[in-house]
Amino acid sequence: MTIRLAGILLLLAALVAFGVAAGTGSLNGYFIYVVNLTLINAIAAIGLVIVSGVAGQMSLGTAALLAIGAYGTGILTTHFGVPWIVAAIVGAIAATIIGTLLAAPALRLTGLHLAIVTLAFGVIVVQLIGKGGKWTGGMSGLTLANADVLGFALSTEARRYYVIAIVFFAVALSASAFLRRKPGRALLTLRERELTARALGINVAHYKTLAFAYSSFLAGLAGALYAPLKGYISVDDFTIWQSIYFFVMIAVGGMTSIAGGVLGAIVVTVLPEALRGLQESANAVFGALLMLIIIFVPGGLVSLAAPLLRLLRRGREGEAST
Amino acid sequence: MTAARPILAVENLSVRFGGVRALTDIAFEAPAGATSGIIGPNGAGKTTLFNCISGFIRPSPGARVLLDGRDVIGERVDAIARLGIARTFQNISLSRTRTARENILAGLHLSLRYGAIAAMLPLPSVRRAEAEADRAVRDVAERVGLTERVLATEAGALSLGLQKKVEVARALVRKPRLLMLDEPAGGLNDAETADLVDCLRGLRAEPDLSILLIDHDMNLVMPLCDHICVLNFGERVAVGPPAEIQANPDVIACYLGADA
Repeated sequence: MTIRLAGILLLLAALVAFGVAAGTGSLNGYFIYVVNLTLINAIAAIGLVIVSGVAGQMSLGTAALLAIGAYGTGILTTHFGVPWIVAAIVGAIAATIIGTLLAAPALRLTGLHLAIVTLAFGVIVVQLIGKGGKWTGGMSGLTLANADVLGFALSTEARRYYVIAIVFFAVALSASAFLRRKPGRALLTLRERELTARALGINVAHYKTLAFAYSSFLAGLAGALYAPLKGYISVDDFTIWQSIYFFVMIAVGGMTSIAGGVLGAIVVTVLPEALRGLQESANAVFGALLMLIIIFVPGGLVSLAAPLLRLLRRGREGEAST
Repeated sequence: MTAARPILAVENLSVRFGGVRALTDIAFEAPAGATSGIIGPNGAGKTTLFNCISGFIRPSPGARVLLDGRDVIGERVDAIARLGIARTFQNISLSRTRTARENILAGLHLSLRYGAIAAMLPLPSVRRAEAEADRAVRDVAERVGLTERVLATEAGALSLGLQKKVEVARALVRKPRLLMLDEPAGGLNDAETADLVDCLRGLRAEPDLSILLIDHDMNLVMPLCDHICVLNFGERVAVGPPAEIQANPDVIACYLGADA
């Protein structure tokens, strides 16, 4: 068994175990909600790992793409009675198309300049949603119709968990295959050595666009799941602060791996909830903890596992040679 | 002279950077299946010529760069690579944090035909392609003399000599028709240079591979090349087989810096 397969089975076991526990009704609904939110954030964080961490294209437009997915889903289900699953796909595709347009400036701009363009994009999207009148509910937000998947109503936290967990697992698996194979190698090469990438035959414009498209799709998908989770969405859910939090997730967890994005999503989503007891000082403690992680673990929390993985790998090689 | 079409023919090639004439009216041919060298002192324009051939620099109008008879001027760098040119760079251009194996795998980009969506799915065809890629890496490692242990090491932790070999392997792994090496022995010590020359000598014997290499070190180039072009101050000083070049008074002058 490879280390990768072991990791996949471990993840699957954890997701199933939580699902079983949630199904018995013994878990607090709020607790399941936090896990649901974590998995949704993890999906968007995986997308950001691909475009910013691996491809090196600084993007601060994540929340806006989430908003497109969420509002797309919300408008179609609420105003047009479209089934959630169809609305979710349309919402994610809408986010993909609009997010891919961000690749156009990315072909000319880098670093801070690109960050500013994507940030401005986020501001514009939120403004437009706020001016959307009855379609988006304007600044007062949109209350969603009840969602179901092929007759399976997403009426409880546990039921929402099943759908979110399945989508998350599929995303984690497919994204890690993407990174491990040809497209991931091409993106890493173009970030680290763009001239070399060209000489190796990598079409840099094509791959940068692909990175934006893929990460926008994942953000839109996260938004499509977020809408039924909250039942009510408003522009306050998708501010530029939220985009910055997504960036913090991958910085804290690890910029270049799926595990890094997921770990970061766990820390940045769960920690504030766990610190709630501290009341006013919660935000200060949260900020201080993030700072400590960035300073003392600059490679992200996932880098703490590197020595362990090396040990496991060496153990396997030892086994193979005997 | 062979009657066969040259793998590479450069005609009438000039490059100006502002008022500086980096290259003036260069013409030369690299015979197919042979090893050709471009030599000249530092600043002679060797790397600029390489950059024109691989598409990084566009020469002045009127120039032609024919790869197996096809003019590639104006084509994108990756499109030219697709036609079968692979190159290394003067400075190491590996990913330091990835293993030698992963670096060489990146060289197979053009050989792997599956798309981005297919990459995400557990398709047998993709698995087969990746397994073949792994085999290709092992084969090329054997050709240039890289051990399994080196393949599993992060490139940044390897000696310069091994890093240069990994670069050669990365260029070679997709079986290019023309392999262009920019100062393959630059910065290497004597033992590493000797090792690399051995490795290149092995590649030279391969009939389907043409090699074009740049170096300022005559002692490296002379024994390896069938055919040499000498540049100095952006102009072609001489062209011909090594024995002729060595005896050419203009070449000797430009290397010794004497008045010709």
